Amino acid sequence: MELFEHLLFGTQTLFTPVNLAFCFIGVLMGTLVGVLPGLGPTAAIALLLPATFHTPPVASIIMLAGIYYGAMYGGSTTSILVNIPGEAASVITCLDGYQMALQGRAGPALGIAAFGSFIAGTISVVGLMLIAPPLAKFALAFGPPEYFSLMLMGVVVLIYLGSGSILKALMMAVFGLLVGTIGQDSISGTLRLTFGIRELYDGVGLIPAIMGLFGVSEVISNVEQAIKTEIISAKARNLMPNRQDWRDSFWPIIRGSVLGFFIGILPGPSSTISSFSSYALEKKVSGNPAKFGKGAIEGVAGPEAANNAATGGSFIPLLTLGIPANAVTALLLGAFMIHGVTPGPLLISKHPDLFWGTVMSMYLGNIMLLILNLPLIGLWVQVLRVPYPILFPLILLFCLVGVFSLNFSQAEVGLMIGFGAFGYAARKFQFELAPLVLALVIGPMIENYLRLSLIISRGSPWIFFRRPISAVFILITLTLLFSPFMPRIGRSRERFQ
Amino acid sequence: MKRVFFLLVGFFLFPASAVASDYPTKPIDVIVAYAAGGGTDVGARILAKVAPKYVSQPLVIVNKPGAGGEVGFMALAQAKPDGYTIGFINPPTIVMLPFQRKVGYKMSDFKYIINIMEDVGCLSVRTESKYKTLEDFIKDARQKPGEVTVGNAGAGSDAHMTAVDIARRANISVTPVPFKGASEARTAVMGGHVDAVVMKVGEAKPYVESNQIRILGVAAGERLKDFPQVPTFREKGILTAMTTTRAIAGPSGIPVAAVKYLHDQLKKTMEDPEFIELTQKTGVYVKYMTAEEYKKYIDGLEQTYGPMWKEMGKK
Amino acid sequence: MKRVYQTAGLCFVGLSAFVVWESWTLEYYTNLGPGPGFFPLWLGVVMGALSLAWFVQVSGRKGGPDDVAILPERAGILRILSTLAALAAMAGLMNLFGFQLAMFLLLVFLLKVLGRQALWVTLVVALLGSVGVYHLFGAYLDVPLPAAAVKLLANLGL
Repeated sequence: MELFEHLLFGTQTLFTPVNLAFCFIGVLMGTLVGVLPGLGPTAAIALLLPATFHTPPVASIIMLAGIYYGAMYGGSTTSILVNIPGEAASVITCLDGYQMALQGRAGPALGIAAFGSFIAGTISVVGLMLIAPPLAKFALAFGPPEYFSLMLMGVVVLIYLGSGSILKALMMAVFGLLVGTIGQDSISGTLRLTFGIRELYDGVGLIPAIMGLFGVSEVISNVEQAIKTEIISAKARNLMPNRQDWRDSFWPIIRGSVLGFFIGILPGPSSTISSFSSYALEKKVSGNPAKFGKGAIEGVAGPEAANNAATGGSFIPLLTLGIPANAVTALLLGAFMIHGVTPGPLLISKHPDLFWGTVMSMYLGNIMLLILNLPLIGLWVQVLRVPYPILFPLILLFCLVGVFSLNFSQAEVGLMIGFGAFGYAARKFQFELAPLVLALVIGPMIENYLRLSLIISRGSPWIFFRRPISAVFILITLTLLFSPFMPRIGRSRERFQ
Repeated sequence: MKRVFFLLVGFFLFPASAVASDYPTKPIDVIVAYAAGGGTDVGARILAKVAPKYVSQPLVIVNKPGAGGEVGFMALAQAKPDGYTIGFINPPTIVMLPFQRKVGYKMSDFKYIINIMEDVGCLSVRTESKYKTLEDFIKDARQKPGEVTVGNAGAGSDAHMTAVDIARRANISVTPVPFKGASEARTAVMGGHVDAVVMKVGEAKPYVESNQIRILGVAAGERLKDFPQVPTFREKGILTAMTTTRAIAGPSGIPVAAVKYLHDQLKKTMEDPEFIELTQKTGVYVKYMTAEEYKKYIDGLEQTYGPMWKEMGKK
Repeated sequence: MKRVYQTAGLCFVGLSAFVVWESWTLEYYTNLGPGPGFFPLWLGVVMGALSLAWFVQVSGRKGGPDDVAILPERAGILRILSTLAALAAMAGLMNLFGFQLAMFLLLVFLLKVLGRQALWVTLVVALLGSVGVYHLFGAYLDVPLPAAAVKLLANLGL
């Protein structure tokens, strides 16, 4: 059938020495970039773009795409090993992944993250192949009102994320929403809560915030007690996930992949939203929600699969309609243009070699990534054996350089340190940080889309109900909010607060 | 004896020619006031890629994004004027910021070297739109004041100002919808969530080619080579002409010899076919302007935007 | 211990009040929907309400097994504060002294003073982490870490 011919054609295109080499270089660079915090795929692609000016288009795109999804693999490594999320999407992996590392299970955590990402990547490529064009049209139908309603549903997700007191989770969420309002309001142009500090005009940077809240605060937490040599409570046992791990992770991976894929199609911080959503979903369907946050492998498998699948999903609007979903895909778009490839519905027909070659390269890239990352697990686990008194300064070095390399801003480094102190204090009082991060990410978007929708409707709130997709989301939100399954505010969900 | 004589002569002559003959002796930092991957950044990297053919030292791109460009512009204004730090300036944004709020630089802090690129503003709709020509749009807006929605790249952005200017001169009243960037605005118009969008031709071009966007009018002095069938606003009696340019400038104390060297060598870079080809692929036009011409251009912008912003009732 | 919780609660309440006060000056509502002041104001109000609720909650609680000692012991506080101060100093001095010197000093402090490592370990790691990283990032990753602003140090190659 026709699809099979396309795949064959794509494989033929891919299996030339040049394209294969570029695919490998791309995923290798992507992994490295993903492990280093701060220096994200955007910067890496921007750096390498000029180098591709004179290389053939197909090879260039294959390489640049490889950097993008390769970076997703690397991002989980530091989250698991040292509680430093390389980017917002990896924050969730810190929650259970790091706990697993502390229990001597870093190997299985890294392993399941790698395998989960591989399976998710593969599923999303299949999805890309099969249903790209109609899905893209669907994505276009999402305007500000739909995004608002969708985000509102996301707020309900927020409530599922915490495991302790709802009151405290809400406090953190509201705090996150507040921090999100800092900066220049894009709708009116006025500055909010910036106090004349120029570096705050664009808002509080997400990377400094999460690196401070997770990475730095963890170090400070450990420094508080006498600096022990080993912070890991148990010796690293096996390096690979065992059969029980696989049994536990199978369905989370599948669910995460599907969820991440569909969320990835929508523009915006889809990998972050999908990893958070997957975590919430896994907690909801789990028979034992209390184990989340203490090293549950489902808390790593699902979200890791989700954020990788989101990456694949974000290629759909890019390749079929030329719509960039985030900064990275926007760069890839620029790369297309420089190579004379016009993005849009005609891309598949005018440049079939590019489209199918890239699709096949994503399969191959995922396989390469798996092969690359698995042996590295043994290496990474050794990192944890470095005595902590030597490790923690290196972790801080890592964070400082990572944040600084983003925008060469001393202010952001200072911000990270501030968040580190705050994160430490918050943890002392047993506040959870995940709701804060999610609020930071989607808070500004909720407000933005609400106001944009009202401008478009010239003040009428009925716009949310008149449009079918938006109405559906609102209905679901209301149902969930008032359903008997929602935890009540007064009571805590667990024994302690 | 003769040898010593010549050596001495050379020794004394050397300092006089020092600046002119041995600049540059180390890499030159080029400040880009926006994040890696954005339009200005990619353009800068293209320049840095082709420049080694003409400039003896590498151009190192340093991204200093923030505050809508202010962080980078300030960094340039305050940089050491030794010829080893230059940067891209982006009018009209750089000109408009001082009107919108207190900023850490003045236009007089910069010494213009050469203008490299230009991008023209345009009004576009999606191909499925009922507006086939500029007249359709204006007619509809006149009949339904305030109902037609026009997306732009954010409050206070040049796209926003262009939209306001067009509306003012065409005597229509539209509702501006400020998105968080041109990309979002463009996606919104393609999805039919707003009726039209004001953005730069560079941002629209690939989508015109793929038949998703139709440009109704361009804000240039004369019709564009790439779109000869699209009228300029001027032709239709709307006397607006809003372009964005990207020029290289240095801090105001930069040595004359460095300015001359950079100007001459970068001009050659701009005329290099590889540079022209790559730049056009990103949708912007190569446009040379001398420093004097550029100063006149900037002054003109200040005179247009200052009063306009006040009129718009902000601050 | 209750005091500490209460203080924290009050801090949040204070923060909320501050936010509400700041937002008051911003435009609350425009004819096309909420203005920039709308959200921060309400968020501040909600935050204040939640903080008060928490304050009440911790005030009413009797001491129990859940009351972990919040305040760390003196030595711990000292370690935390000195780490934070060192980090802040690094951030502030990085541009002045150049990345290499500033990071070297920071690493020496963290390794030797806080971590009590042997001198040779400290020096090796500190050198690799400062000079090594500087060159690695500059040469291979195209990320120019700051060189010293002070002339003397710059001439030394820092």
